[in-house]
Amino acid sequence: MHKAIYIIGLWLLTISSLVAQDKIKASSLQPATVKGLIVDAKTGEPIPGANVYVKETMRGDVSNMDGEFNMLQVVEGQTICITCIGCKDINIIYEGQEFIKAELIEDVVALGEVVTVGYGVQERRDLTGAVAKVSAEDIAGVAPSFDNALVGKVAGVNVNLSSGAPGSATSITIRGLSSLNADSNPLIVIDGVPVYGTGKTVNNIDFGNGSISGGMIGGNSVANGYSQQPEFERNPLAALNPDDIESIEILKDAFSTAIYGSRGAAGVILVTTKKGKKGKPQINIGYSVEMSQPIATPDLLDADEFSDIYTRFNRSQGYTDQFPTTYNTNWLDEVLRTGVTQETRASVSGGTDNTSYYISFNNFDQKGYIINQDFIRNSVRTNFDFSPAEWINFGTNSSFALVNNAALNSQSVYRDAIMMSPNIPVYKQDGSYFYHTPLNFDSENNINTITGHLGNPVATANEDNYVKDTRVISNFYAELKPLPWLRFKSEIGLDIYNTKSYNRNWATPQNTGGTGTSASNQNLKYVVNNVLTLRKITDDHTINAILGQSFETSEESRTRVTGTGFFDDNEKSIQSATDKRVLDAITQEWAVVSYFTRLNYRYKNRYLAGFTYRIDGSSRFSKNERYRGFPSVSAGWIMSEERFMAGTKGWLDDLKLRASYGLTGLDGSFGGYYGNQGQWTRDNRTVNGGTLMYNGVPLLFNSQSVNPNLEWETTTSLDLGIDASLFNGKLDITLDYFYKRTNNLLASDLVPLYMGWSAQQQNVGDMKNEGLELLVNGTILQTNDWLWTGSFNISRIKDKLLRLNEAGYQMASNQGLERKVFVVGESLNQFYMYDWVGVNPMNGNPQWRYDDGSISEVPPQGVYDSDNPLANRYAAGSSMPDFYGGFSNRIQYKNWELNFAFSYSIGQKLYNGTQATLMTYTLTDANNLSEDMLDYWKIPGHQTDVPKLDNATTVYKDPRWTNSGLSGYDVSRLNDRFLEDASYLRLRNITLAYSFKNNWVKKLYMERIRLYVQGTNLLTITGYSGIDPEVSAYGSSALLSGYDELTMPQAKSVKFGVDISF
Amino acid sequence: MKTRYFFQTLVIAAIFLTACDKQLNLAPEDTIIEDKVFEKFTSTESAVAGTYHMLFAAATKDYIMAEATSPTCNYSSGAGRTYDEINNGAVLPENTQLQGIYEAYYAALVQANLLLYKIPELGKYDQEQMLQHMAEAKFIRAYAYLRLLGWYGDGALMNEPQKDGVVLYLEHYDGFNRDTDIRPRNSNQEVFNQIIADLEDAIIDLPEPGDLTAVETRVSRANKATCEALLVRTYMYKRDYTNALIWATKVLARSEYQLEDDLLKVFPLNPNDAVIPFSTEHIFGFPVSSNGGNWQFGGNNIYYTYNNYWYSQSIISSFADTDLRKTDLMREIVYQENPVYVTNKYPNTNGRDNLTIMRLPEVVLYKAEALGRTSNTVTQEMIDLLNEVHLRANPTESGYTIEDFESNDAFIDRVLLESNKELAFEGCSRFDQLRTDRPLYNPELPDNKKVFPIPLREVQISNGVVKQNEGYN
Repeated sequence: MHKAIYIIGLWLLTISSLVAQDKIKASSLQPATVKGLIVDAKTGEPIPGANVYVKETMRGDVSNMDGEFNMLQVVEGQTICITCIGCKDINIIYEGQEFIKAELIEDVVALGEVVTVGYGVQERRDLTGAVAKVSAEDIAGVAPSFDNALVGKVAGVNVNLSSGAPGSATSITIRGLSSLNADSNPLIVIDGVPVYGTGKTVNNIDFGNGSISGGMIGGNSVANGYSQQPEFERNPLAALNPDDIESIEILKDAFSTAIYGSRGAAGVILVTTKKGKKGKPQINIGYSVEMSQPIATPDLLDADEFSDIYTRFNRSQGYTDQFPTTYNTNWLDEVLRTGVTQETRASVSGGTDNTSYYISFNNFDQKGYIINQDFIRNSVRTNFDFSPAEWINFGTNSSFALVNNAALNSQSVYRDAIMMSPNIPVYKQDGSYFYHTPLNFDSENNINTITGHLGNPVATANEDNYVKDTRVISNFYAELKPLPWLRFKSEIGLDIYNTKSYNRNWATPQNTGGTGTSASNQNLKYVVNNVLTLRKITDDHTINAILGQSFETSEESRTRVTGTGFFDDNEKSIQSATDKRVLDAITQEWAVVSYFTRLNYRYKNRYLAGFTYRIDGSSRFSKNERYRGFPSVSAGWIMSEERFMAGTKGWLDDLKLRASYGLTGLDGSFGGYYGNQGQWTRDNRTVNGGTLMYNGVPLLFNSQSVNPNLEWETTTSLDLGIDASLFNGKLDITLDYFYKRTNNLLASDLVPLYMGWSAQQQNVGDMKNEGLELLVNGTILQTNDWLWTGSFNISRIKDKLLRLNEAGYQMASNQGLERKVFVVGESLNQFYMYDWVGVNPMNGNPQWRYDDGSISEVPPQGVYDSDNPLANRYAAGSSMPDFYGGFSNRIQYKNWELNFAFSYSIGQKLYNGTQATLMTYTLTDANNLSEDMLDYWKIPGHQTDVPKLDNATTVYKDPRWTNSGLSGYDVSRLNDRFLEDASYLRLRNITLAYSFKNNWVKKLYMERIRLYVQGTNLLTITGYSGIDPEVSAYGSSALLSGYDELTMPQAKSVKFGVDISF
Repeated sequence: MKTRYFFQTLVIAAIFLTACDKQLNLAPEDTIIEDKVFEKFTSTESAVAGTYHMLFAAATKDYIMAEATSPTCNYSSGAGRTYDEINNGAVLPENTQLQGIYEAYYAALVQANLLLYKIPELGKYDQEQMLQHMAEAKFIRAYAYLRLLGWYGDGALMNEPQKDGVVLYLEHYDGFNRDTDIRPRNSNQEVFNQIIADLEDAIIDLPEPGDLTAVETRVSRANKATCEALLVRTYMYKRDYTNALIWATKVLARSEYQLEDDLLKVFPLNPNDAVIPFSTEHIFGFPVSSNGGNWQFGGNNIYYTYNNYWYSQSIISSFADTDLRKTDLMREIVYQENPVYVTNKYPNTNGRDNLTIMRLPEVVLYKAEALGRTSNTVTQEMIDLLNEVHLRANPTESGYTIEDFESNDAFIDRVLLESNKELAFEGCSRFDQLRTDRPLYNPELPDNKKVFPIPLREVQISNGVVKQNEGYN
């Protein structure tokens, strides 16, 4: 892991040495070759990778695996410098020795760590912002994409894997929610290129083209039900091979994110990929195979139990529908399999004096636990750096990935397989798929005489449905060092994210020709950065400054066509459909121009100060509101350097207090691409190919009005932190407190109708986030044979809405945020629920508690008052946890290694929509039910929490409109009946490995063979009664989190693998 | 050497730094930005057409409402789910259907406002055409405000000029500023004055009806006569009969508008969703049959043909059995074992009939009424006007004479009855009841409920600055 750090460190040191460079004295002495060995002064072990160079000529070498080095043309009197990360530097005057043995002493104070910050690097010691770092070893080999590996690893960062579907979206929240936008995600920068990150805008594949919804006895839905949308939000980070990553830095406070201005409003994740290092080529190859299954599945009824409940219910409603039990299908068994994932990795890296390279290949072939749902990634990376002269270098970091995700149907197959009536067979007698049809349509294929389930999930699983991403993320840079203390770097970054997707629904009796949708998305982003870096050190003063400019632009095109009526299921092309339509054909663009500067100053090695400023100009705003500046300041005090702290030197290596304050902002990117320009559109609904007219004139409508008063959404944040290092670096503690206030929250909100619009983008309110984060890293045991390190982190973040212009329920519904309610003084993720008391044991009816304390069998939702929509609802908790974090341990004994990592999340609420769906028996779909349904109320006195089948609310009639009114208030998502505490502790992974480094390995020209076995999600401790406490039906949206809607649980898996180093 | 490189690089950087602002000027491709729309005639013409269409969309929302709340109409229990609470005075301010009417008219008139702001600012086409477009926008705004006033102005048609009308918003939307955009309602008087001012302004720049040779254009786009006719209606609603008379006389002096002999030319049968023409007696209407829509959209939203609305007993009994309006424009059906008469004015089952807004008989009868209200005796001129409408439907009769009326009031009552019979189911019956102090559908309805509640959200958003109508507090 230290390789990249080492190189960066070396580079920094080189520069500092250059400052002190003396003129080379002319010498008549004969140059000689010097050999040497570098060992650890304490253990005597050889130190590989140490940098050895002659101070006067800057020529040098790097020690090899055995600690040996070899330098040519050294002249007597020259100084040989030996430096290594984590060790004190050694200077040896060359006096003709042939062999030099250098013993390096561990130095916890010197350059412990270098962290990447925006547009540069910094020593952790000098850091005054809040930056969390995750290194390669923490994320390698544990997850298919790096974001999945971050769960529980970083204080203040809440990563939530929304589903077990391969390649599905992850929700990443850095220091809490600070926007009312459902699509607010951190900026992800890979080697300086801000890439298309998480979020629905560019990652959602909508393959819907109008669907047939199920009917209901007396209606077609239950009160506040959930409907699965025909769409798939994929994870854009899955295209990146996690093995290529050297480190991930997460910028959390204003001082570190302000350099990214409006782009960093939701936090920034910087990803640095591996670079080659000087020396002989390092070749690594690896192979692993992993078996996976869902962590659990729901218990469902068999055909007899199913038929019994549905027959009873229908009889109670006066219907005579039949539910035969001729067939008994376990649909879930039909679609589940043991998933097998195979991964092959290979990389070569190395370098010479003026070049370095890193080349890797990765093949990740995941067969998910649902049949025919596969995810394949092939990726290649080339990182190359070339320095033809000491004042210039240039290079590239490029990755190319092909992702074929044929697992888009996973979620719908999983959901449908659970909901399928068990008395329907998979196949007909002739072996073709059985599609249930309504009685009046075709009695031959009708079993349940009510409409029944119309699909066949086994068939769906086998349908063509894929999204193929081609992704190139690349940067090309040139760096000039005109003066020892000055560098100028110019880079062009690219993110080409092209997608082709295809979805096919086969012909069924009711959709005779089948339907198909094909889409092509082309996203192209490029960024140009020009950065001037200045670093000047004198005795007491260190100045580290950057001045830069960045231009970023994105062009997002999509075309989507759909067709119905295919001659045959094997005819794939949409153009063969008899009826076809263009759903989308559009290109949208945006651009941001930025200028930025950062100044870090250190005085007397202990007083730190920093300042950053960024000006962003966004194409989304009109000319007069286009530019916005984002300042931030910081200060630090390395207390441990003070004389009065001398007494603590024995146990306290380092103690730093730091504070930062600054501004970040959001340009309201979700408000449309072209900002507040007034825009007019035609009525594009086609009638026989034409458009609507008025007396022969085509129509234009004002589709977007100007909105010049809209202000940027700004967040001011304060961060106070302590960094401490104790006991010779054996214990590191980082503690942060932060307070973020977001003003002018942007959202679409109601305006008076007399202004001609019902809602417009507005600055609607203010909110705050406040939190504490603690990270502890420690070396628990370190001897010659043992190394045991551990890490623990915990975060507490609370958000609060401080002000809102309007009633929050109106705004939320206006924005399409489902059942969301915003209330001033509460968290954004608060659930507002009707208080479900339980089942009246005397009559089996459900009961609710009203605001006045009375208990009633009338559903409060049924007597809803639009004047007071929160009447009888109470704040039932938030979907955001009170505390979350993780802890991990790494234990090495000789060649054995045991790693394990836990993550936990405490206090968050999760709506068990899975159970709500599996207790809904009023729909004509006749979906299968949970086994818990069997305990429905039967006779007076029966104590149960499941109401009687024909209870007062299953088919509730509002007394005011007896002919209408929604039903199923007992399973409404506004009842707290299914709202549960979803606190959990999860063993995310555990790895046991053994490395062979013996002579027989060497004889095979190998350096090391490592065999390992790894388990993922083997243990989850939770009180949640559903399947997986960690899912979210709404993908990457943290604002809409908290719903488990038959969402695919994560897999538990066991992996066997081998890694070989040459 | 190195220094030179460095400076060269700085120069390159400087180029980057200056070249970028232009890159932020991006234009969308699925929409047309405002500056481009108003530059030229064709796109502005489309923007004007779009604004008419929005007015049409609003009209489809309140057309039946104006009938189903009037005593000339009766309806089925299915329609009663919508209209009973309105006719009982039990409707709540949060009623979404009533809000929809309010929203649609304001949406149309604010887009008209936008035209009025942007055409002079951005227009680069012929000055005369620009003025005509703006005049049409003023007509649209005036029509929308008159409907809004009729529905939401507290006592607006009941001679209460000082009571609250509706909010006069004459700007275009450019952001919602709570300090300046929250406004109280203007008085009925102020709104009437605005409507009149807009129409009088519009008349100046609009063409003569005779300049528009195509009947379709004459009826669907505003001209001088359209505004004059709307001024007549406005003054009648305002109970300013002198002015109504002045404008009615101007309209009737025009030769382009003539009563059709055949009522089926005014309301033709339209079984095949064909393009049907407007008649010569149409003054203003929305061309639905030619707009390219189908049964799903672009339709007039009027489904009298499904037999949910019919002539009330009181009004049907006033028709002679030979009245052509009964024989040609009604169908007898049986509802709950009683024969009732359904209008056949909108016969198409897909809502594809043109929507009639103003036609000549309205102006004729308004003039007759205005004369009756401004003179002391019944004159032959008044009788002739009444007979013009009456005899067209009853050609076998000899018509009324002066002797038939004992007083002006008796004459006026007869004119109002004729108006009810002639114009029923054409979207104005409620307002003609209100402006003449005659009862609405429910005779028991108190006066303060003879107006719709201001939509609740307006009161809430404005924190009560927009006041609720007295009957709904």
